[in-house]
Amino acid sequence: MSAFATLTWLNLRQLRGPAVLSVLLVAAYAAVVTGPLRLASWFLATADFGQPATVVPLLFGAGVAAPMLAREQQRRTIDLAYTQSVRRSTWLVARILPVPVLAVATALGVREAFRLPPGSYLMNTVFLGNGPIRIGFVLFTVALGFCAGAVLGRTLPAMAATVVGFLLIWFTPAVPAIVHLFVPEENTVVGVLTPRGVFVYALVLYVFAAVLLAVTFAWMTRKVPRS
Amino acid sequence: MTATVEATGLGKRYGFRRWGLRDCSFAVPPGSVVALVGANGSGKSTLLRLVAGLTRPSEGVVRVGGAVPGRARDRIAYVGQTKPLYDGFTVAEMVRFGAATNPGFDRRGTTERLRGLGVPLDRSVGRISGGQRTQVAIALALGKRADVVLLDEPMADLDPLARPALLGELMATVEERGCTVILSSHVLTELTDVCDSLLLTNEGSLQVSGKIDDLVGGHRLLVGPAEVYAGGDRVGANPVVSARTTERQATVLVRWLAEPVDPRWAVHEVTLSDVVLGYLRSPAASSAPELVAV
Repeated sequence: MSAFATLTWLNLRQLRGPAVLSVLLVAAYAAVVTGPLRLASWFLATADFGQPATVVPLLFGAGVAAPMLAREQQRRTIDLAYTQSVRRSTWLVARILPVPVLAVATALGVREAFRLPPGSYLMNTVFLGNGPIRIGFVLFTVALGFCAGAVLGRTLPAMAATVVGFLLIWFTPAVPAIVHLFVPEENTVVGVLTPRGVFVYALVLYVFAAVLLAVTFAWMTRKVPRS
Repeated sequence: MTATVEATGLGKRYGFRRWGLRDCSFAVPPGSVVALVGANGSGKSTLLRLVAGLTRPSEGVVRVGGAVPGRARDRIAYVGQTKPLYDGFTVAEMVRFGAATNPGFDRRGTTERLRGLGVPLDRSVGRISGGQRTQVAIALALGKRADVVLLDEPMADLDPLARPALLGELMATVEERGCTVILSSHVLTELTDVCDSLLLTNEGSLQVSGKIDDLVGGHRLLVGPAEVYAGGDRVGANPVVSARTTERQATVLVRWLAEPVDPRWAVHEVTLSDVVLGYLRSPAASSAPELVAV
């Protein structure tokens, strides 16, 4: 096995906790869909905060990505990683990559859970046919978590910054405004977007995520460790 | 498989004004075992982190085998003061991490060494004792088969039996591979047996550097009645490093140039501790230029 593959395997192993959590999450949503109606009404009562569209990004962005690079610095394991022969960038890719993969897999798993019979009526409240946008929010929040963890270097502030950043993007019309710049004729309310609108909306989120990841890389390879 | 560690005018500034280390020049030849001593906060860790390439110098250069540390990562092994390891990994996985990140890693030898030390390989790193953690961190560093091994306070968590064992193992590694070891420590007595050179940092500058034998042979402790010593920076022609006086008696550490002194002085041979403590007491005593080349 190449060094990169072994590193990735080791990092995946460190994600056992989040992996278990993601299976539980999918199982929980499956129970909501297939289980007694009371479960479904509880779920609907949580409004936005029980929706997979917010739960999955926040879980992986604030819960997994943000603490990861912050903890590396706090516990000084970054010193260990950066004094091995492997290049900093190689190590970083192997460290980061499993998280978005797991997060997207979870999002897809949850979507499948909502396709279980007889849950199709819930499906409409959840995914609205905007898969790429949902994935975009997941990737954006994960990238935001990595960036906050890298720059802030402390676990709790990084998690808090990720939650705040997600809520800003979620509740303010920043992204719709940008989408409107590119496709002025579109109605930018998620749910009534045309396929082209969905594409642009998702693309904006992917670009945000890419920029955040680039900042993370630059910061981690140049500014860290800071003493 | 040898590398010289060279520093020229090396300095590290934190913030705008506080210098962690300044104007530090030395050369460590291959195969040396160097003791890095100094008070807390005097710049030991900063110096080791600069050599390890974990932090960039604010001024000056440090080279390992002629290259800046960032380009010689495979030739440098470093163990930080807190012995950082991934707590979620088992000991065996930590060894696997070392093998994955270093082409020349001695996986079998490292596993054997840890087994020999009684470290449970299948237990997670977060659940082994502090001493075992240190052993794992050092085994990983040695397993890398680097030319320069940097150890920051390696013995702080080790029991009195494990300390000489570790030092013995270090010596065996040095003899087998001809690598250079720089280790920082507070425990002077144990260093004398294994280290051949000394770097002493004091208040952010390199105060003393040299072969331990030369340092011990090149200093004397003079003890005499108080009235013989009237202050001043020389006794006879011998430069004073530091002096302590009571009402009746003066004790003076001098660099010994074998110049005659007042016969009322009693001249004593010194130990490494005497030299180190003498310099630590007077940060202003500049390191003698002839001692700079290690």
